[in-house]
Amino acid sequence: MNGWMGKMLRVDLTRGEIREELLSPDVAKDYIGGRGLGIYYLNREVAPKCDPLSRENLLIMATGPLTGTGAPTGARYMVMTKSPLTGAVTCSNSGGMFPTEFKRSGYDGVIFSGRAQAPVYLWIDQGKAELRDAGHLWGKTTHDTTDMLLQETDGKAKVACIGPAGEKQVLFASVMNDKDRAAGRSGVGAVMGSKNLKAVVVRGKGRIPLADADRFKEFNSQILSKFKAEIKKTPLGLTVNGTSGVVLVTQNFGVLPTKNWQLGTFEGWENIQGEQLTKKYLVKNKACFGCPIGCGRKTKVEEPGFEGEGEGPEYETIYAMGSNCMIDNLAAITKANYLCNELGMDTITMGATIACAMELAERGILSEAEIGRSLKWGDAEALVSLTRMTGNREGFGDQLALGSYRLASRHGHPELAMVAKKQEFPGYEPRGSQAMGLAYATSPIGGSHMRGDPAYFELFGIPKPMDPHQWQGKGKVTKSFQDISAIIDAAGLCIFFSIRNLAGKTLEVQPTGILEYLNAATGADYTLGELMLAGERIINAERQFLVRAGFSRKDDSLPGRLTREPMPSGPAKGMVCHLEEMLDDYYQAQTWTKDGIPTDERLRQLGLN
Amino acid sequence: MKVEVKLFDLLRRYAPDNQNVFHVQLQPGVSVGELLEKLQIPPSVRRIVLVNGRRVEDKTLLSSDDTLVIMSPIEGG
Repeated sequence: MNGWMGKMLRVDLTRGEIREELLSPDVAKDYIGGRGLGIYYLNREVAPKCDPLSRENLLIMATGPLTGTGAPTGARYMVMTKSPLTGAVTCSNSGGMFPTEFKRSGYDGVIFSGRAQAPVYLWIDQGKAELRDAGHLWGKTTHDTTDMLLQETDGKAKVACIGPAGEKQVLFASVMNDKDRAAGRSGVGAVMGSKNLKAVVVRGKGRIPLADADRFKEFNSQILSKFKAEIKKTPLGLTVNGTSGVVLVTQNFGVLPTKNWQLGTFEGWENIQGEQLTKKYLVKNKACFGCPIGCGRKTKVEEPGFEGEGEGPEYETIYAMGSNCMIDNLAAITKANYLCNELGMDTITMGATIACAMELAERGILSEAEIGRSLKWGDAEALVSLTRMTGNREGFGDQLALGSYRLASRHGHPELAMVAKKQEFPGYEPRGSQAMGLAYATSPIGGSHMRGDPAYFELFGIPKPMDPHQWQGKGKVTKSFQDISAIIDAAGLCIFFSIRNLAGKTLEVQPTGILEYLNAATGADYTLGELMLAGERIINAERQFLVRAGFSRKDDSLPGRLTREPMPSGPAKGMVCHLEEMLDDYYQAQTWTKDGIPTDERLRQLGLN
Repeated sequence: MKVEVKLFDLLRRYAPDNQNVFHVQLQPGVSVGELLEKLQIPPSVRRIVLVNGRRVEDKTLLSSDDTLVIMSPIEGG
């Protein structure tokens, strides 16, 4: 095969057995790779109602056919499993250098099953895989684990691992690779911890075969020349300030979630926006493999009490730990981000859960005695201290480790958890960005912006602007963005480059550039229709898993705060999110029933029944 | 009429007296495009313009006490 390596690795952790399995060319073409391959195996091999932290669950890591090929931003891999946070299927994406190294070791992906008796790590050296004892690494941070593994394997190897949070099954533990890149969401790290799997270490020098290397190279140079000419005229915001530049956009559109989603603007926003990060803490930009953007931020903080070095924060972290907690101290936010990276936790859920706790405390639902300290809006020191306690599951951190839904429910107020399918939202207020609400409610993984990101057309104006306050007609467009996101995720690309540069300029976002790359790399001769159908297949296969696990329209929901309480101030003043109206439109675009179930005919069209 | 202007990111360089937030006196009926011209922001410079938190086009007419935010195109998340 070309583009694909043609092989998957199977690791039975219970028996300690490893074997190779051929990847069928038909399955590869139908599901593309990455996220697509994940749902292909999960639907066949995981009981939808199983306990996600039991040995019945699988943990799958998979690259896409464009990962490591040199296609711009072709650096991604996906971690997939049944999520302990949501109970639904999840896929969490990451870039850096690990995914390319993994693929060059000879495999498209690895499927872990069962549970090891004692901590282990997987070492893949140029296609030869073995399980090794990880007892000496248990309890170590992601940074220490990575350093120790490089020393005992190969200094040039790449590492994906969990930290103490994954070991202790914090429900939003991440899998970290290259130290500071995160497959952050939905607790994929908790599943890895439940399997007693500390790390995957890879060394790969193999070539990734391309079906038509000349065609690939020619198209690549066309795309890159066009991109370079554009950024010469106007430097890309993502390069200048990283994703943290988005604070400026959301604040001024009135959709920067503030005070646990009670407000859409934050008084202290100028202290936490991208220009401040660049001026005060940026050491240098960092790019993933093959990326011409370099949105990664290598940063250093010297303020007493918050000293540290690492990467971040991203926009989502700044919203969750900043405005959402009314904290305008960027040093503290950055420090809490470093701790999340080292302990191995999702910064979005961490920040949003602390914000929820702050509201519970303000309302007198949570007492100081229960928290073990005072917890007021804007308390920067509490953010850092509670983040550390959560990663180690100490004291009140043990309650925070379950995420905001379980925390708020335990104290009798589930409505104060700002979640969809029990997963915390990223930083865009649906009352002033209507389609974002629809995307949160219908994303298979719960609150997420990466499984179809309407901020692109509602806020950033890409490929063209659509009024964020309008809800009519948003169902169809949101579906198109979900479909292209599935294709990007499955191909091994990053959304930041692909939507702008590799898709059509209409709101249907046809994946024209991705098609050319895929065909040159794989020789699979996709037509545009086949590729778009593959995106729809992935979305519907994920929905199939959810339906079997008991999910339906009732779970495609948002908290009443967003659908019933008008926004009190700012540009979106007086607005609520019109979710129910958009859901009808969306299900129709999907050809799902009014209850959100794919019809038999639709599944047949997609080869899913 | 008077409008408030806020310039951010790469657009800060067009701020008079290095103050990125300032007020401008205009004749009634002035459009966004005309204000941009007055601020000497060339059409070739890519930007997003919001008036009172809503995205507008160059032809949009301004009203008294409007707040304009002018910033470079930003994406990400």
